[in-house]
Amino acid sequence: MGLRDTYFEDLVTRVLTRELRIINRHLPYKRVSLCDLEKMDIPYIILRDGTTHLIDPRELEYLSNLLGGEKCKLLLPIIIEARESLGEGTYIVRDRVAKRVIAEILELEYEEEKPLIIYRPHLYKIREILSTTTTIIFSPT
Amino acid sequence: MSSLIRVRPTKIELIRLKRRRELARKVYRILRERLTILVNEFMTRIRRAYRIRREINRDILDVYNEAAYLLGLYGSSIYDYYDSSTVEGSKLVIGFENIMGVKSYTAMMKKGRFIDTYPELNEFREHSITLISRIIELGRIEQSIKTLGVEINKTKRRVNALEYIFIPRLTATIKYLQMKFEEREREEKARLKRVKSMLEKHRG
Repeated sequence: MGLRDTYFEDLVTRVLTRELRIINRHLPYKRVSLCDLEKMDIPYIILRDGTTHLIDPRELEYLSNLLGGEKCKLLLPIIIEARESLGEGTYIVRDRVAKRVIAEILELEYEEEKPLIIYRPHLYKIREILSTTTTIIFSPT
Repeated sequence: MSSLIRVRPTKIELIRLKRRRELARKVYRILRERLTILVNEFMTRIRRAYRIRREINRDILDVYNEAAYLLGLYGSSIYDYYDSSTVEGSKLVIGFENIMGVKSYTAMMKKGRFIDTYPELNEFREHSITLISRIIELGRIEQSIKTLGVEINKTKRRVNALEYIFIPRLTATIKYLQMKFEEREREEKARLKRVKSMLEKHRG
């Protein structure tokens, strides 16, 4: 085995590891409540890669109308988890208020204690309505 | 396409290769999931861009007709009046939107403040602002379609490289090493048997 081959193999492994590391770069550095975002002149959040992500005020208005009195408890963006162990096309929402939002949009029933499990067509619908206020996290475990 | 990776035929190398294959499979599954979602985002945005473009084409003529009507009714001074009744002009905010790790330019319009004037002028103002905000939204969506397209291409290349080259090559090499070790084991057994029979012959 030549030196060049070893170098190439190490490089590939490094690239693969890096791919896993950077796949969730788009997650927010800190989640912001809906009330705080509504107070901002231009609503935005800062992401882990240091960039800012503008949020559509129309989506904030929609969420605000949907939640009513509970709107300050909702942290944005809503995190939808794609967990490998659950299988392809299955996603989880863990946040309590976010679960309510998602369940109301999709007209699903949910339990307070358990995470809400949604499937790919649900995800597409959610992303269509809340494209800037939801984000997907990829969990390799 | 799968050819063998040149490795030392040792057990430690086999373990290393198996670990690497596991990592590659993990990355492949995640990238494939991401690709599926990105393609869907792309398709959704194309549909939305098509819908908005149709709406713009429909509304632009109405706004143009309203402007011509106002010009005919009040003369060219109507535009000066339009300017003077604007307390604060509408603003365009340009920033970034992050769609699953894809950074795309985005823009949104912040509506200004105006004084109420003639009903026709108010209506015209309302319609023209709606039209401009739709045009901005179309631009935003088309920009995101472009960036998503580039990202989809990149991700697809990675997924295909993993699926058709990297993982099969690792699997083939692992299989080759396992066969080699089994062969070695069989040789060892045969050798031991021969030594045993020679020793027995020697004793006898």
